[in-house]
Amino acid sequence: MLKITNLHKTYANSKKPTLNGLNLELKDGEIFGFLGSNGAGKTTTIKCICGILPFDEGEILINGKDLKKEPKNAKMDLAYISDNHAVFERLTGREYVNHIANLYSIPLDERAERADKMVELFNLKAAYDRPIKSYSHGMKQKISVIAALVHEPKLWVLDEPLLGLDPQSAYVLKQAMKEHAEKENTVFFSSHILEVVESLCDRIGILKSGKIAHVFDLKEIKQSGLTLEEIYVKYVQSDNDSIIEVLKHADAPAPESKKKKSKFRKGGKQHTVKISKTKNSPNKNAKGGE
Amino acid sequence: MSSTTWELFRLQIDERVDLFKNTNPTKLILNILKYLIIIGVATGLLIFVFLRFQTIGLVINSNVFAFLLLVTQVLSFAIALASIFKALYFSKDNDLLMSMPCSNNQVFISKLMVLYAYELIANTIYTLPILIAYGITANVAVSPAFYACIPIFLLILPLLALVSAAIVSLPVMAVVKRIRKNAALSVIAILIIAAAFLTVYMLFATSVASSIDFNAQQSSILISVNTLLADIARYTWYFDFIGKGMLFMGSWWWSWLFSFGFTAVCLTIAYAAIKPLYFRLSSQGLETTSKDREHKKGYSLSSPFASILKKEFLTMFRSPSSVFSYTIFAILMPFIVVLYDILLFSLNVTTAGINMIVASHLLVILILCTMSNLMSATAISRDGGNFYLTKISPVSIKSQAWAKIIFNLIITYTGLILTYIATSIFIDINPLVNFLCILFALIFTFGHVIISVMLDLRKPVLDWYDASEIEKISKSPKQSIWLGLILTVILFAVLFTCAFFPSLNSIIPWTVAGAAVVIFSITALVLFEKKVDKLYERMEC
Repeated sequence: MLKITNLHKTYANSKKPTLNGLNLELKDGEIFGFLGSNGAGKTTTIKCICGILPFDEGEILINGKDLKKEPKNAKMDLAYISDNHAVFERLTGREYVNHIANLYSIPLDERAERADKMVELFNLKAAYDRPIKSYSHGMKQKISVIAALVHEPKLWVLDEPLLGLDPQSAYVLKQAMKEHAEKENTVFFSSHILEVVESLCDRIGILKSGKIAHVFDLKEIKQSGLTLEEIYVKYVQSDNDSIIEVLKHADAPAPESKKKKSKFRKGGKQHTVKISKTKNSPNKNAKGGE
Repeated sequence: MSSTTWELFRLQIDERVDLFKNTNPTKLILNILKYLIIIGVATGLLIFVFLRFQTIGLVINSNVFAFLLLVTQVLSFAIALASIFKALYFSKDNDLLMSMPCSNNQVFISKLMVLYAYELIANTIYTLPILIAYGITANVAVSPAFYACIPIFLLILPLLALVSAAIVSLPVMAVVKRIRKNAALSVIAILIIAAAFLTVYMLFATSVASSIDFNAQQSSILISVNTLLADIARYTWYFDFIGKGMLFMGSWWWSWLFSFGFTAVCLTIAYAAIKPLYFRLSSQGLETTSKDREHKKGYSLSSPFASILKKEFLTMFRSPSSVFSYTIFAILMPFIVVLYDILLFSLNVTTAGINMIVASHLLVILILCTMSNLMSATAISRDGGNFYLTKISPVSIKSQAWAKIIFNLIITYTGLILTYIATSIFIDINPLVNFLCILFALIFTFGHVIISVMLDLRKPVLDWYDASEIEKISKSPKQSIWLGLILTVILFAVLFTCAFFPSLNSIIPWTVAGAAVVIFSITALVLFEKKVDKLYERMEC
């Protein structure tokens, strides 16, 4: 569904590349979580995928269509939800959805059926014909989702989609992501909320030094007995680029639930991280690292 | 005054100027020097003007002084009214200041102090030269005490302007609150104001046109002016009192007492009246609490291009300020051009003069077109945080940019067509000349709008809090105006200069001017077709 090959991106006002040969391939019907520390280049990657940012080198294929060579066709299979929920606020919810549907040339009956169903689902009916500027943060996110899904995109990209959402809105959005993937579409999203990533995703990729450092299958993580949080915190903050090396030095699991202190070094500074182990952790051979 | 109020005052001043910050002393001295030079030059010019008035027989007496005070204070009032709306009612920093560890009253007083500080500076810059020039050239006795009391009155005068603007702002605010929710009402209000303004302008213009033979009527005009000034002084008694007080005329002590007392009373009334409204508005958050009207419509099928164009219009019509800024020049164009033509075509001139008038007719139309096309110079920037939607949509940038271009063209072209109809009906102008002028303006607008969109595409300003910031931050509007004005002046010069060479066939200047606009527009179109994709692609948002 999405294939990124050797993606390079350096911003005009920077000498250091933000993306330095990023490779990634996403399958049909999967939910892929995109992780990385602040400033790692997650949003840059997402913006390159969506055609918002130009990139210096590499290739992005969306459903087999080259984003650089045939941008219009590639974008037909794509939808994007930004982290700032920016939408045309003077339009009403319906006008906005209708406008987006027009851009993707969605037949009238199809757009009405899809949009009205989602409006009902998201409990947005009362506000649907009011200008979006009167919407709350969560309502804006909901209308963005409806507009994004009105053309049933093959690839749905979301940047920090749960930021600032109330629990109910977050739940509805997560359900929408699951349902979209169930229809053999791909969902690609970045988030710092690891519990959500862990519960939603089939696979996750960690971005480090401008590259995808490692792609995990969530099933493997569950089998390892470690939580995603443990792996992520240790890996991202360590100087070691090899996830295997980091995991080798991971703390040994304790038989009972307890908190251990794990120390490791980064940039000459010693960090202390509290790691909570679960009762039934099967990974008894993992070791703590410094 | 508490230290908190002072700190709040400083916070707001520091946000705008470097008055209290640790600035470079050289920079500070240069800034002060700049203002002193401005005041000095303005004083010199005014002395020259007043002396010229005296040579034609106008008496620079206390009535003139009261009139001058009135003019400066009307200007101060206008500035104060605008500042009150901006800094008090619609200020974006209300939420921030209210959340600080201070009372609402302290916030309110600090805001009034900021308003007063600005009013004081502005008032000093244009009132001081007038006062000095008057003192030097007046036909009445001016003692050194007049100059000594200038600083005192410079402190008092802005207070009255501020206070009166504050009182006036109350009913105005009530009306604004009501009409700003409805774009149609706003447009009607704008049209009423514009019509009133144009009526006054027309009365003035026609009276000037009828009395253009100044020499023949000089004495009667002077008598009328002097009588008018005396009447103004009689009716604007506050300024008459201040004038007499400053000139130490008659019971000057009574004038002083009255001036200070009246200002103090007005200040108290305004403070008491405006305070509750300020709290209500700032706590309500005017922008978000207004109940937006429902716009019930079903889904409708349009092409991507038509949908983008429709979105541009809907976005404009939902915002009264956008309706105003985008359409004002197109709406006013027929009125201004017709009134201007009435003034000029009523002059008794030779054939060369007619050519000059036609050149200036085109000049006015093109200036108005330039101003009306200005919205294109912010067409991309206006999308702001929404610009990513442009980038992700499966529609080529050419289609998207054309939608924005057509949007502007529809507005300016409407103004031009109405102008053509109005001038054809009301002005005794050669039909072919009238047609050519409008045709040139149509072609000029086409090229100018395209170039303006490209200028914005080259360096868009997408990171803004309020759309009104764009024109301050972005260079594109200024570049667009300059480009439009340069071409306007070139076309004007071609037609105007040819008026001095009767031997030249009139076809030549019109052909040259026509060729210039056609070349300009074709160049703009070619540049657009060649560069727009690259400009768009390299844009980062």
